[in-house]
Amino acid sequence: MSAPRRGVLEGPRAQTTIDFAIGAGVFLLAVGFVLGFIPGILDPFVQSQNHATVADRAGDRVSTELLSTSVDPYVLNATCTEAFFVGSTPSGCQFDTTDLNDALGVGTRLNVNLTIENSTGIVTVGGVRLAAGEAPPDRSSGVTIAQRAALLDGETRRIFVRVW
Amino acid sequence: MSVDRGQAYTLEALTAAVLLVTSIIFALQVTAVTPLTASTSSEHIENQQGAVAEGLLASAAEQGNLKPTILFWDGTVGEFHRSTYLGAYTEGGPPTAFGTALNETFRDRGIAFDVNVHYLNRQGQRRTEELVNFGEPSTHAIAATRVVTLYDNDPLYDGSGATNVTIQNRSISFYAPDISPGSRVFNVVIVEVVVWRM
Repeated sequence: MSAPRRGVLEGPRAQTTIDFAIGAGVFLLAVGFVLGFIPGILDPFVQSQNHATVADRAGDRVSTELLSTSVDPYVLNATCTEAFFVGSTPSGCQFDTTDLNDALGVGTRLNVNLTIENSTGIVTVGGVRLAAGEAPPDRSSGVTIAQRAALLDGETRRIFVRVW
Repeated sequence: MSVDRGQAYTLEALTAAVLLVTSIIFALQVTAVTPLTASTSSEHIENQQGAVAEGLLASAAEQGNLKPTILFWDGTVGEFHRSTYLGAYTEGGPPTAFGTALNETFRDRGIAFDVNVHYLNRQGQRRTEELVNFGEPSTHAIAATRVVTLYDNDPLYDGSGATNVTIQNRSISFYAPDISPGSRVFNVVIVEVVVWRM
């Protein structure tokens, strides 16, 4: 007489061990997926330009191409600089548009502000206040600033490009 | 399974523990600066400071302020004029126009800087002379360089301008040697400005 074989079915539970393992595995996978997916829900639909890259490129462009003398980077041509901030486009300067976003190569969806300052504030050269673009908002976050140093009119000034 | 157990299965306990730990980690990640944060610098800020240093060197070279600073050397003592410690300036830039520009642009805004002058010795190896030493740069430092050529008839400078002692004068001890005695070139030096946030 053979001993009664005890199969997998022990006790009144309808769920076998392997059933439980599969169920627990699926549950853990679902929990892990949800935890990994939640940060992605909070991203905006449209990816905008990276402000830091844009500001950096605009700063490079202003100090080495746009307002500089054609020979040396970081040396600004005073006549062209004044003309740029006044809004005229004389020949012989390396810009041919007075729209700030266009001239700096910043897309139309970003706001940009360009100033040339020294240690006391925004510089005025030849009666022209060297600031262009609308004033940046007061909030301290969300405004990316790029800075450069350049020679203008015999003195070293700082160029600030603010993008938000 | 007895009815008064609050925790039915170990799995439930594990999931609860995982949720707790991830919420703590999330809350900690939201804090931007902790007491152990090494520096408030970021790559964008470093790039900007590097570009400002490069622009400063270019504008100083254009104004003719860079060479007088390199040659602000006291030939009899063998040090820069009025240097503070071990032949270098440790509290700011040198007392020249370039040093003033450095102080205004960097030191007054909480950015430390080192200025090194790299030259070649007679064996063609690169040696360094410290001009400004604010200490060891942090791991978030960035440098800008500019090449300056020194000629045989360049004069040394002191507090009142150019002296009439040239660097090829054998009675003075200049930090760089004449690597090309047969030509007008004395040495080719690289001025390096290393900046980092304090």
